[in-house]
Amino acid sequence: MQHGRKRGTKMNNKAYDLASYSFASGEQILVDTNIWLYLFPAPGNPQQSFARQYSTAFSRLVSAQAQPVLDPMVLSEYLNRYCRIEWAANFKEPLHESSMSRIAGKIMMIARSATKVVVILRCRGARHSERVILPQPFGHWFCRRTAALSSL
Amino acid sequence: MNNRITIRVVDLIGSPLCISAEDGQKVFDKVLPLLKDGKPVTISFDHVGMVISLFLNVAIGQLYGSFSEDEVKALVRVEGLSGDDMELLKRVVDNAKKYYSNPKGYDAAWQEEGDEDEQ
Repeated sequence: MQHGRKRGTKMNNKAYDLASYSFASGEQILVDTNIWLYLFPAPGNPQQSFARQYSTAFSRLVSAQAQPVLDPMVLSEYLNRYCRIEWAANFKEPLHESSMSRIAGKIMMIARSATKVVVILRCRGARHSERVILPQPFGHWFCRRTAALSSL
Repeated sequence: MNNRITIRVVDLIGSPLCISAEDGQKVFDKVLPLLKDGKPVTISFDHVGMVISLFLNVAIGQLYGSFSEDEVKALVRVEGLSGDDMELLKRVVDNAKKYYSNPKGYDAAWQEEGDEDEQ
């Protein structure tokens, strides 16, 4: 996670220990892809140590009323990695560009599953190079499905 | 006669935030022995303010590693979730069934992702 005081302000480069960091009310926290991947995971083992650490920190973040922030690039990477996990687990064929046309249908099926989780953020007004501040309750942003979702 | 046992999540984890895997594990640890005894369980999410996939996966999805889909359906009832959260739960259950039908494949796929993070 990265932090910044206000939108548009410079972020300093100091590293903080996630386990002991004290989140402040209103503080904006840019949550990176790997954390989203564990909080809203593709099919996987429920007993992953990263998931335990990240979710404990995220729970403290929400309790402190800090503001999780999602960058469109992070969202894109989340979708990509979710698809890669589904692909690697279910298909032996390497995911190369040259094989994309043959496997487009399968990729669509996986992407549709992943976008059920993430696309709603775009529908709620995220534009290129804008960061989205997720309101409370944050969870509803991820689980609400809209008509726009099914059109993808 | 099997009496249905209700587990109130808010009381069990002491918070309306269903976020951490640790809290999800508390729910799982409470439900597991009851199901092993064949007792029907209601997991109540009344007064919960926020639920995320990971929590549901640890608390409920994990049950599919120990019980068949039919057993879970017969013994576990979930109440108090909003319509949106019920959809989230459905997705978590679908993912859990996929994982437990192919754990080696998914573990290897996650391992690859983890290795990439460390590079």
